[in-house]
Amino acid sequence: MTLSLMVPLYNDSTEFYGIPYFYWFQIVLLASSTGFYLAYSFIIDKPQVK
Amino acid sequence: MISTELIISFVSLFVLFIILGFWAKNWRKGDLNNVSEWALAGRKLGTTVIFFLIGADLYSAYTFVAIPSGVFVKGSLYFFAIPYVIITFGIATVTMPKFWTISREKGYVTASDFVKDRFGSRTLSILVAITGIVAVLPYIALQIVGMQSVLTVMLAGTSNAQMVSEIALIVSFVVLAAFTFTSGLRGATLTGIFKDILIWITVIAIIVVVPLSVGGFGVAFSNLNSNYVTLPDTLIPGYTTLAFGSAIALYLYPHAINGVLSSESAHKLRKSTALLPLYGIGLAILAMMGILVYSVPSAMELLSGFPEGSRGILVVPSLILSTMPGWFAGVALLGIFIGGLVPAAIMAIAQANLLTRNIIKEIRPSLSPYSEIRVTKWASTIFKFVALAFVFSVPASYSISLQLLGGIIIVQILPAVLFGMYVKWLHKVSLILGLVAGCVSGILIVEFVNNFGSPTNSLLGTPVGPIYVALIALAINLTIVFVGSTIAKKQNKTKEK
Repeated sequence: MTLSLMVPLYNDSTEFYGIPYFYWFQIVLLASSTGFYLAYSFIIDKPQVK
Repeated sequence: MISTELIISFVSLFVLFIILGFWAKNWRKGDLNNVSEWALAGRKLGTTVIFFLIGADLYSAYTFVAIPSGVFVKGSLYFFAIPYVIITFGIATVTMPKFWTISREKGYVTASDFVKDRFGSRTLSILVAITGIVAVLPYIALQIVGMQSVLTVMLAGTSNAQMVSEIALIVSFVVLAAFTFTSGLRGATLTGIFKDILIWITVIAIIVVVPLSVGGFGVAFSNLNSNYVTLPDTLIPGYTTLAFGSAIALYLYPHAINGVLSSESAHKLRKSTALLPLYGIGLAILAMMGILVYSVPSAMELLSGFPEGSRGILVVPSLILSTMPGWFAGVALLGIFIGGLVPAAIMAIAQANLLTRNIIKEIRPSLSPYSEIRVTKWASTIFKFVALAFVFSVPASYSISLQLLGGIIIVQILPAVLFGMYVKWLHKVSLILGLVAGCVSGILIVEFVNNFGSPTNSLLGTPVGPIYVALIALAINLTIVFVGSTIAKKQNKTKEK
């Protein structure tokens, strides 16, 4: 979450498949945030599931 | 002129949508004369269904129309929608299961129910309800603008286009009102899943077809100014505050709370919320269409036939119409059309709950459960048509502007709703004063920023750069809440001594 607000870190025009870093970095971050949130939800719910 | 295949696929899928909406009353059967059954689908929706429902609820015309429009007109600034999605679902994954647990225990249907019980204040509860109703109204209007954009592009070049478009919208809303009345949230949920399937098919098709047809993303970006490639340094504070301010506001909207409370368990809600950023990938793709469209001559030619001020909201429908075969364009355009219709239904249900439970019932506590559900169903119908009348009477750009105001207003209930779950010593009078001060200051600052004209800008210029007005107003609100609550706490201690 914090990383997504640190704009100077990814505000760059270097291209990857024609897409500037500014855009694809955020899309990668978006996809990986799902993994983090899912992991969090499994960790939190583990005791309740037992 | 639109093709026959387009009309056939659009209309036949819309008929299927209607059938699904009415049939939904038989799905997971329950007593639809009970508010909890009608408005929250009996609070028994599982992980997958909640994922689709909240997805359908939150990824609305704002996603398909307003964000691509913003990127088209202003460039990378409007890509703030991506960090916004990352942050909002992070916050929601942590906080909303707690809100669900409290609400399930006490039988709350709205955030105002929670506020009334938590702080013992009818005034605060009513103010939270009014804030929710007012903030959602322009949001529904925005959904209608999204639907209008589809019809505008489809009917371009035909005679009586405006009249046909208005009739189509009225018919759609009559149908929507009828199946929401009979099926409640069940209707919105099933049609929401249908809408999500169409949207995902569309997004996948767009990301394959459009970049290929323009020779790749590189070609599209090389033709544009630098503010479309990266974010100008001067706009970084605006970008981060827009993302953060919008993120903390999203789950305060009554329709989001409605989706949360319809979950079967906190565990299932947490899991589905954690998965919701996946929808953001679709949002990112659609947002980038605001850039790619510049490299599609046929789409730009289509757009040039419309007034400059309204071209932004027509970007996605124009791209679909210019790059897809007729039958598929019908599928995709219907996805966007009902992508406005379904959220509008859930928003109106949530507004009606607030009006009946937290305003009318406060004035007439003797309201029977039967009268309560009747009033709620009718209020939900009326709210839809109020929004429709609003769209017919003011220009589309006003609806989008007012939606910005809606976001600034709704975030002012954050101290009462979100902090109310975690901070025990907040004082009700401070919360009331903070809420009023936040709303009034937010509206006044936006008016000031826009020279007391149409509110098209929600960023206030400051020495550190532009800042989203919602956060400035919230800072005023929070200062009053915490200073007032600290004083009240000290006074209570003195009295106890």
